[in-house]
Amino acid sequence: MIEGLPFGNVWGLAQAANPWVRAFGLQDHNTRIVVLATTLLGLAAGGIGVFTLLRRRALMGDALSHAMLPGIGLAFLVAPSLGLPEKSLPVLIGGAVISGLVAAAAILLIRWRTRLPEDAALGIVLSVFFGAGLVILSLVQQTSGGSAAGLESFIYGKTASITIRDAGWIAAAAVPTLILVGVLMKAWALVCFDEGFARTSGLSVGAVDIVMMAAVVLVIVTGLQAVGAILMIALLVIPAAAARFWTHRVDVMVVVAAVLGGVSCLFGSLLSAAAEDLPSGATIVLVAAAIFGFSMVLGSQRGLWWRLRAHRARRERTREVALAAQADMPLGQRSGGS
Amino acid sequence: MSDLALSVEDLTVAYQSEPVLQDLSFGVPTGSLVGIIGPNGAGKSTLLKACLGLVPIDSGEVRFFGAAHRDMRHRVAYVPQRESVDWDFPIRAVDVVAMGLYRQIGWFWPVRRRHLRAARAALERMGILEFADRQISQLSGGQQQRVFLARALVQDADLYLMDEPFSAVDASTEQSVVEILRAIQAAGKTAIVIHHDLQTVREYFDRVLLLNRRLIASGTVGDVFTEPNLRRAYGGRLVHVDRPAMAVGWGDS
Repeated sequence: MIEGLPFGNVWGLAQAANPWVRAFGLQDHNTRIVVLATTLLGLAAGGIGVFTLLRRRALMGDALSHAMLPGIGLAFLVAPSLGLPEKSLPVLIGGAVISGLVAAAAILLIRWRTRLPEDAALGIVLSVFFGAGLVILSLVQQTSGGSAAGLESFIYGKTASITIRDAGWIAAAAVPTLILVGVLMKAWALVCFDEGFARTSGLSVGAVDIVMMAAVVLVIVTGLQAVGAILMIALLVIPAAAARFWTHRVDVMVVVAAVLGGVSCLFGSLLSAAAEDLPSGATIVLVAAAIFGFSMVLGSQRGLWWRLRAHRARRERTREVALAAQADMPLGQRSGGS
Repeated sequence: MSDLALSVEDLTVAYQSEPVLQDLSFGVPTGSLVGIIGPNGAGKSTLLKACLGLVPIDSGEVRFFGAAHRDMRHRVAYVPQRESVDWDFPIRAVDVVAMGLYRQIGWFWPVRRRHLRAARAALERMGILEFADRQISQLSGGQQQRVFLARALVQDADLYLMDEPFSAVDASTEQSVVEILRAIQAAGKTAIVIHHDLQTVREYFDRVLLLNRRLIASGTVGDVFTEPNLRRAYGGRLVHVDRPAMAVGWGDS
């Protein structure tokens, strides 16, 4: 029977059966939309990540993303009593933002009221909120049975859990963030480079920082479903760090980081869509890490490979000069000669 | 009032209830080159920062051309200490200079070609146009200092506040900073410069502000840059006063 079928049909059957081909061929409308949305997220995270890196606030993003978990669990519990569906994304995101803000306030309070350094405050808040989040989520899953399934995608990230509607929300947050990065690039770069000069020029550094943190929070909540709370920091830091190896200009670095973030998300979420049990956060991070490794070694500006070659060439030149000098010397003065 | 580029009255600044500057009052006439002199920890940088609103003032009043700093930003340019920024930052020299134009360009608008042209012209005045497209970490200390000065020059201000522009620079940079100071004065403008090298005070500046947490003296070099005043500012630490130069100073006063 099978021999009788035209070849194209066999191929078609194989395609339908193979989730890899379906995912990477972008054959599902659903996958297409979701991948597009997460790619936009990667662009936005990569772009804004440059400034959290240059402002030395990278760990703040990590603390905030972990701190969003308890808010998500509580929002799930509270939503039905407000007459809203328990897994409605706006409600969960609202909960995430509120607990993220509480965490930010806690960090600032610890810093102002005690003499602990910022990294200690970040470590305390990050772990305590994440711990609370895990406890609340497991309670939620025990009490509400199957209806809470999928909440763990906020911890590890799962592209498959994103609906077309969710993808719309992701795009709606990612696009304005990208525009914001473009418009505020100049002010952010100045504050990151020379805060004192920025203030004497009349720029309100406090306002600049607040807008930057707000944009970071927005990107994090948008990325929770696709990347998850644990690894969201990777999408802010890794593309920006990789971009540094390709350029020595902030504006170019923003574009490169955005592209690398977008590419990481594109391939990461495609992989995760193909292999259903693969957490997309981890796959996105691994793709980003591969890009980072490549950039670190071969990046045109500070790549290790080029630096090693330059170092070798310098050493070679020095040796040649030394040899030439020795050759010019009268025989009796040559080192080792007598 | 308005013939003073900067006037400071009863200025007191404290870090955590420890007074750094106490009851400072002085005026800087328009068109003068002022050297701020004093030992380490005298509060020289703090004085500039307090005037510019970068550190909180406990009491007192600072006026630029008779008005508050926030109304005079366009007439005041600040050159911070070179060590105050990270020179590994991913930016070219010409882009750092263009930062001096950001206020004028507007915070939300892109830097245009003519702004970059102005930035290159300022780098040319400082004699380092050839390094315009270099990343700033590839510049020597003196070249970095000149980039900072170019950023101030491009603002076309009337008053320049400079925090140690002569610190750890090569001779040719020192020479071009001096030329810029002369040009500023020739244009009828004012510069206030934190300075360390007592040997060159007389050559570079026409007024001096001697500082050691309190104001020791403020006035023309001839009146104020005297051994008794220096001894009061530096205490017992002053051992290398240039005596021939001092003798000229006494002749003036």
